[in-house]
Amino acid sequence: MLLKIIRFLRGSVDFTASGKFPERFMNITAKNGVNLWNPVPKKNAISASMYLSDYKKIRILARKSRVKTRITTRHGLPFIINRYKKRTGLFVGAVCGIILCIFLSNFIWSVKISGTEEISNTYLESLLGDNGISVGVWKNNLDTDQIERNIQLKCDDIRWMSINITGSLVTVEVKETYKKPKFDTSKNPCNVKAVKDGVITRIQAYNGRPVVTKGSGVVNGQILVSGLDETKQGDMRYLRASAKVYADITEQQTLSIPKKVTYSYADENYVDRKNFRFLWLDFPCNLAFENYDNFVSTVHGENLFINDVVLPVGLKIRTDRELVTTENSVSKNKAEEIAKADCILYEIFTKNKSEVISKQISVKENKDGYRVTTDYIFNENIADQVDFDVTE
Amino acid sequence: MPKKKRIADKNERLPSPMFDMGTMPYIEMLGNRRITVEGSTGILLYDSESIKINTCKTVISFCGRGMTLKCISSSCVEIEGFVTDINFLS
Repeated sequence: MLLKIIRFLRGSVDFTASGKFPERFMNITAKNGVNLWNPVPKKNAISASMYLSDYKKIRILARKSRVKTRITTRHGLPFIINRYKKRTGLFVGAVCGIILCIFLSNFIWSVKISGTEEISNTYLESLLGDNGISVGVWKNNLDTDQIERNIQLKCDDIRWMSINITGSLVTVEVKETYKKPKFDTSKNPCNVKAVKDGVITRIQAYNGRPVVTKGSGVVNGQILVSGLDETKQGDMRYLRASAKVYADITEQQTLSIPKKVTYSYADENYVDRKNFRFLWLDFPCNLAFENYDNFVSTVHGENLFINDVVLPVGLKIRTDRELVTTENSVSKNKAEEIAKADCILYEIFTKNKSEVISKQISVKENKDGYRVTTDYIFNENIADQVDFDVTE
Repeated sequence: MPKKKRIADKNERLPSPMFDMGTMPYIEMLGNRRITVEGSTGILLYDSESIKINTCKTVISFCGRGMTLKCISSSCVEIEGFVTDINFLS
């Protein structure tokens, strides 16, 4: 392979040496240090190959050995250059292209993060950006060891990280710290008390003496599982009571909805503003003269991928959507629908550990709007550990 | 006291080689498919069925089929092909 490359770069010719003694020609060329390869014997001739530079020297040697040489095929770069000698633009373009490639390879084209689970990539990208690693940065001045240390000092969740610059691609490998599970290490005696009023449905006592039973009604602050227990000998002992006590509790949610609601929504009218992205530069691609007084923008960009490598060339599209503000009157049914939607959000985000036993929505109309009341019955854990002093 | 013999004296008494090995051609064969001749002074005949190589002491003739010279330099020749016969012609 290397030999082929050398031959291509130096240029070679296939030729035929014809005469009475072609062997003599071979001997003379060999003695004069001329490299000859693939000699094929023919009748009163041989065909062989040699470097272009050597072929220029063998004229005298051929005369000495009384053979006539004739080129049959030309190979290599010198002939290609000679063919396109007059087209200087091609050479200039090629040279400029090579220089541009060398110049651009000194920038970071893409940053690839792997190994993150809890830490968001956006946060890590911002940390890297603060330390000088982002797309379009001159890569030769980067001290990756120092950057690794800085980021690890700043972000405690990172156990280990490695920044590798391969060509123009930055690969960031991260290992996150293992978080310690929370254990109740307290050894103080405590009672389990109710945090809400309700009716007990289930008791899971892990430690302590339950003082209520299923079906008992309890009030806020009442002891459910006692940390004070009597031994067989009649003595008292103090325990750290632990239990899960489920009870049906009532809860009321109120929501006020005005009769007239003003809201804005994104209309169907939109304008796409496309930008051609090259490293850190954005070049506008289309002319969009339309402007809205009130609009929302979404930006999304895509870079060109070749063989899993992100190139610094891409398209960034900013979509401006017109915001239309309208005022609508709310009917009673509509108010109930709004309240139902609000209840669902409340159940999902606030009461995600509780089970809904029943739900009743009532809408009352007043002068300003509607007052929606939702009566809930939840089944949830109402137990709470409350420490007590043994001197009490 | 016995006189110590010099090592150089021992060497002087070693029998000298029968021939001058330095001028002999060195032939290396890989089966009958590839032959390297070191110490050649020129090619006398080059044909696909017969190749004659001149050396200092003798002319070596290789006969066979489809024989080609793979490499030629001032003192070394490499032959490739199916060699059936080797003759040393003085």
